Amino acid sequence: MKLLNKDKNQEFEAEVIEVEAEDYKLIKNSKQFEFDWEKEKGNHVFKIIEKNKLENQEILGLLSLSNFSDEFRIHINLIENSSDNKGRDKKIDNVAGCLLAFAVRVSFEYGYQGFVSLVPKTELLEFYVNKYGFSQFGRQLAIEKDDAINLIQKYL
Amino acid sequence: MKYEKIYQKLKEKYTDQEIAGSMLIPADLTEREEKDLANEMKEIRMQKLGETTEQDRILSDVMRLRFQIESYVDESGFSFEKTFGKFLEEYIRILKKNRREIADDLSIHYTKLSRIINDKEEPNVELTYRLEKHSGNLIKAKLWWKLIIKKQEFIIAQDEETRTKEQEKVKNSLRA
Repeated sequence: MKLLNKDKNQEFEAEVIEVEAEDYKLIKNSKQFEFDWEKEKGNHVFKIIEKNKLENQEILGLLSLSNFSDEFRIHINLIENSSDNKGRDKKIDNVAGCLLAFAVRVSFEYGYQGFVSLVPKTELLEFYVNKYGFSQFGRQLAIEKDDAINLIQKYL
Repeated sequence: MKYEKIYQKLKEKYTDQEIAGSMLIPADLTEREEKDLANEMKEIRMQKLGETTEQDRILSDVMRLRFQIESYVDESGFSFEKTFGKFLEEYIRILKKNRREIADDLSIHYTKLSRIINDKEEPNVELTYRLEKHSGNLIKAKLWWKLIIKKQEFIIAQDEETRTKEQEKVKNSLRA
């Protein structure tokens, strides 16, 4: 997957990998994240980083997933870009989009037809519908099939 | 209201669009609400599963195949069980078509297709372009091509017999 360095206007390769036990301390100490990611330890937690970068590796964003295997769906608990990559002055673009698309990829890999659900704050619901193609079911959102494929094609 | 607190803090600095564009802040739910929404989602999911068509199944399985190929080409090792031919065979199985139908779809001779599937003949780049189109652009030509390269790299590293045989034909080599 590719992210965009806004300063250099240059794309670079990134990868999403599972967070390791020692990462949680770094996440907390970096002061780059608002959520308490240690509380996600019981879920599947992933980080997005620059691929093949050997020094000064930074966590650009984090993702927490749950697998509801009896319902053939992946649920997104949390997504968060690092502070440097939030807002209009962010250094790197597409971090959250790539993390969302990665969740969809996991769903396809499990054979769930790309079905991914989430329950965002009501004030923010519309954004996910308009920007990423989620469908609204009351307070909940979900994506699957063609819309899920579109998200993958755009970000991965 | 743990997430509301974070949301209000971020609101001081960012617009809603900027917040949603860089994180997923979940709704603060009571235990009861969480249970109700979980039941609701289960119902939605079961309904959606019931609406699944054969075309949906095919597209979903082709996506899964694409990710299997991507993961494999990212690995360092090579396996004769994961060649271009083996993945092509799986692609055909997903489509529930026979080899003759696929050969016709791809405008390739049936025998040639069978030889490629059985790893008796190496595919060319033209076939990767045709497969890209055939898969509705879900599996790109470049990804099919990486499978060919992976096998060739392995063979070049292992095949001392051919190396020796071919190098015997060389004259006036540079002294390096």
